[in-house]
Amino acid sequence: MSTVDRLGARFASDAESDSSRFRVLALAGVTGITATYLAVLFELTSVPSVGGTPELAAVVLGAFAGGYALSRTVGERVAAILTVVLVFAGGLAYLLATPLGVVSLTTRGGQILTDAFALLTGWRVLKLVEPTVWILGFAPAPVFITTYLALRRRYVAAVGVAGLALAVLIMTGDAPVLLGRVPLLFGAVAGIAAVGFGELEKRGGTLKQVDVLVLLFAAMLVISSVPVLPGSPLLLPRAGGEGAATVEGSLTAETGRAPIVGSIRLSPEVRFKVEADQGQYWRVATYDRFTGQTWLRSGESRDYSPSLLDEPPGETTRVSQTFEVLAPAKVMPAANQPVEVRGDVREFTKVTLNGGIQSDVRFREGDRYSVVSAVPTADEETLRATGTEYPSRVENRYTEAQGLSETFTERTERIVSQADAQNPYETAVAIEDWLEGNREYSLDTDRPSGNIAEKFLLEMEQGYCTYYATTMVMMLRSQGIPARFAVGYTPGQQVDDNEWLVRGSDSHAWVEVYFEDVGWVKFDPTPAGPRQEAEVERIEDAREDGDENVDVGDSEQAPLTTTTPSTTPSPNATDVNRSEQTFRNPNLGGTTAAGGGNFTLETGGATTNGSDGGDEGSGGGPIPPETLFVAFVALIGLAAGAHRSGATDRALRTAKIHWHGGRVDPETDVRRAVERLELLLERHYRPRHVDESPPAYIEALTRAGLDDEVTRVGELYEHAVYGNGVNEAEADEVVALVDDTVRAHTPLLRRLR
Amino acid sequence: MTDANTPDATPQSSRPETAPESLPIEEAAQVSRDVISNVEDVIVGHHDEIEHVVTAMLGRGHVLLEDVPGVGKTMLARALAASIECSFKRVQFTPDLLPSDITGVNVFNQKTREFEFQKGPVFANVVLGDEINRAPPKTQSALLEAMEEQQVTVDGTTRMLPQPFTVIATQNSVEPNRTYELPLAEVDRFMKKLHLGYPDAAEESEVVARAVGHHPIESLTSVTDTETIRRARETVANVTVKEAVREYGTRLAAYTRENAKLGVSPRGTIALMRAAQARAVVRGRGYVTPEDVQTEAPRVLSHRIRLSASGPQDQGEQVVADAIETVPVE
Repeated sequence: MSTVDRLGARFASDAESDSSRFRVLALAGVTGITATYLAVLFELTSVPSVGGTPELAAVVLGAFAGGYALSRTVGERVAAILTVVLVFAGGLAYLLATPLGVVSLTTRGGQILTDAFALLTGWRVLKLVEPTVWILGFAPAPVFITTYLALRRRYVAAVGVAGLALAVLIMTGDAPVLLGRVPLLFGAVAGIAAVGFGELEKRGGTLKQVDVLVLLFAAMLVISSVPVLPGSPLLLPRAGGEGAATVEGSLTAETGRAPIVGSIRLSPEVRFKVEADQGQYWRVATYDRFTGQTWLRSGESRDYSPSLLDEPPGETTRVSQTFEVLAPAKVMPAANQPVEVRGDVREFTKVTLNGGIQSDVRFREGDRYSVVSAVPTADEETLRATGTEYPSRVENRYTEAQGLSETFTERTERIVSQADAQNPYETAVAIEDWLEGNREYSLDTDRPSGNIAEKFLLEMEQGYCTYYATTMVMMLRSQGIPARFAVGYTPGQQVDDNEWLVRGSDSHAWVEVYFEDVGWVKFDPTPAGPRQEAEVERIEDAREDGDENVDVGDSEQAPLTTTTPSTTPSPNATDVNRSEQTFRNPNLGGTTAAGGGNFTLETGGATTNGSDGGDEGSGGGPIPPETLFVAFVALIGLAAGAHRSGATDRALRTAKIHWHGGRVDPETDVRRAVERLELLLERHYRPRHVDESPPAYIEALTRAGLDDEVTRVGELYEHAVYGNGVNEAEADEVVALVDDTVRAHTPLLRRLR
Repeated sequence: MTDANTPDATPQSSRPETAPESLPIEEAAQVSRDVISNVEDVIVGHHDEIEHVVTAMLGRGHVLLEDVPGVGKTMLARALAASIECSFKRVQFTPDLLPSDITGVNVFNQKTREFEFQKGPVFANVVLGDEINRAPPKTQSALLEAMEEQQVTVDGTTRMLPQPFTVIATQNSVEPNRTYELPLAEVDRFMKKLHLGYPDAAEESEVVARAVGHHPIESLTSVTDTETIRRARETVANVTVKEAVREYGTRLAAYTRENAKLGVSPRGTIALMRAAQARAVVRGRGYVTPEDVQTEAPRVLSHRIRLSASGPQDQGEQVVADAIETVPVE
């Protein structure tokens, strides 16, 4: 074997061990990104009303085993065909499970495409009618093909598939909401790692090239932490992260979804003026699916058509309402149960699967619309007499209550039996009474983690309407009674015989219970007294403060100002800067008497009195850990970049050249001085050859123009290292000589010589 | 063999019991320079090789000269011996040469009626073993044992060889089918293997000019004596080899072991250090530098390296050159 062969073999074995290390890292990367999207799916199945975690685990394991087994036995074309089959099988299973069935394939292909598109534009999986089936149909194909490809070293393709699966879940909005940003980033980083290490494995790279990957990761993390443009899927609101939102904002801002937040405040500004025969709860939306944290409405809304709005099966009375919009809003309140929308507004009206109406457009100030509602008028006796033969459509959709604990159900049963309730109506009344009587009303509530209904029934002592209503719905469902969560506005202030003024503070959440042969009946478990007090207090405070948009017409003598109203129904941290005070401070009502004066003055008072509620939005606090983390990652990235470009080496070298460090013994000092000299000469002449001793190197450089006195350094080095040693004086001489030479070669210091 | 010979078993020492006093570095350097220039009066060109032969002698080593006939191998050995004023013997190795032809033999003296030891040619300060590869291995090994042990054992009696004792063996590189190639274990005993090579045209003309009349070797006078050489050897032995240099030597050896079938043995590393010590003295220094090691390494290490078990011998030079180029100097 020749020298070259031997060397070659040695390098090859080095590269081999690196390459197997890279394979492990690449596979870990693929596992990481796969785990990320699987985590989303598992999160979804752990939602109370969805379920199916064991089935999903089985499906995923099966797909993984299949991919593993087939990666050694089956060609890529067969694997691709298998994947396509899996995708179609999953889709078909979903279609079969939905009420529409396979027929829809032929008759409503367009609708299916629209649904698919809707899913990809932020329509959460949870809003599907059969999410479990969808998840079980979705999971196996990507797991299978990713495993297959990764084991066949096709990392790029594997990451591509896994990335696609993750992308779908990001587009539906499930991944960002359920996982948050950091795990998603982890998935992305894992994907890049897989591709990078995979390439290194294939091309036989060495560990030295990993700094490029590090640079890439750091760049990704830093860039992604820069505020994303609005509309990016990563920037979905985090439930509970809004700080002190308004009740209204939290309930009505986002259609199809009602997150439950923590502390909350009331906005006293006017929203609507309603002309109607009687005051009703003006319902904005109802929700059928509860995730434990958030209410969702499953199914897609359809364009308005009178036939879509079913009349309640029981006796009703017609209530005709005309809404005048006083502040821009994208909601369309109407009393339960709207049966007809009048006028041009129909074009912008949508009908939800729950039988509610929505507006496609944002109403502006002065817009008007008319709705006719059929309000169930069943009296108490009729309700008591109803049975439990619910239409299957209602029962399937509104009794979903998986994931509730035994304790929750038992507690509910105890409450119901204590009240001696014999039928659905009595059960509902019992629950309503119990909640009203046993939980304290407070807007200052910390949002708990976990299932909110469970927490409110079993642990919490206080809450506001959302908590009451959510808990009541789930309690009813645990007893098999169809119920849903409704949000909207209470009737508001009656300013005339048939005129109601609705303010932001009137926003509310309540419960609708379905009774056989009657329809949806409103129940309000929130204690009315404390709530109204809070609302009235809020309006009076606002009036005393001279706030704008609190009153309209003759609702108060205060004139309506003409300044541009800055009302937005959505919660906004800048609201704090206006004089809206939060209800966190219980003494607020007392202190306002001292206020008075005008708007500007009171702003100061507001910020001193009750600023705690809205502080989350300001940047005055300590640096958040996320920022520190990003800064840390940025530093690592910079370090990797510097390493790549050699800047660290250069800086280190410069420092070494100029700094001798502490004296040790003559020999070490001479060695160190000569090392410094070498680093310097390397820059100005050439590096020392491997087979050159330092004295020989210096000697050679004197021939190339180096100062002759430096040869003395070489001479003394020789004595120190090869000869019989040097004394301290000689070592000092060497250090001084090297210092001189370094100075002579440093641009600025040279002048000081 | 008789009992009468038993007392002779004690070494007949021609070597002083105590080491001679070492010469100062400068004097030792001067002596070596004198010898070199004296030899150069006879040998034209080949300055490096003459230096190598002198350093080998100072470093207590022996030299193997491999070359074609007639380029001055014998002349070099004779000139060296003449310069030192010491005994010089020459053995022409032939296929029928016996070990006793080299070491000497006990001869029965009729007058004294005793066996007398007739010293062989190995009892000399400079021994020239000419065409050593023509003799069978048994005969070769007689010389090689003497080289290694600095003594000769005949009929159970061990006799010390005169000091200094330097063997200059030549090897004929032509006619390979009529030779016994030296086994590697024996080649390893030579400190250095040198090639003289042909002189260039100008040098050859000079050689011819000098030789046509009286050969200069006949008028060559000595410039030093064996005692001085012994003292210079002591000087060489005392030359400092610091750790940095020692490690450099071992790294070179390690490199050859990693990159050849058979690398340099520890004996080779010791030889390298001794040669470097001698080189340092010739250069007038009391310590060895990496340059000394680098100067000596090709001649000291190359012949100890085999790239393959059966391949030709002369491939070690490239490995040593690679080693010097690759192994970093500290």
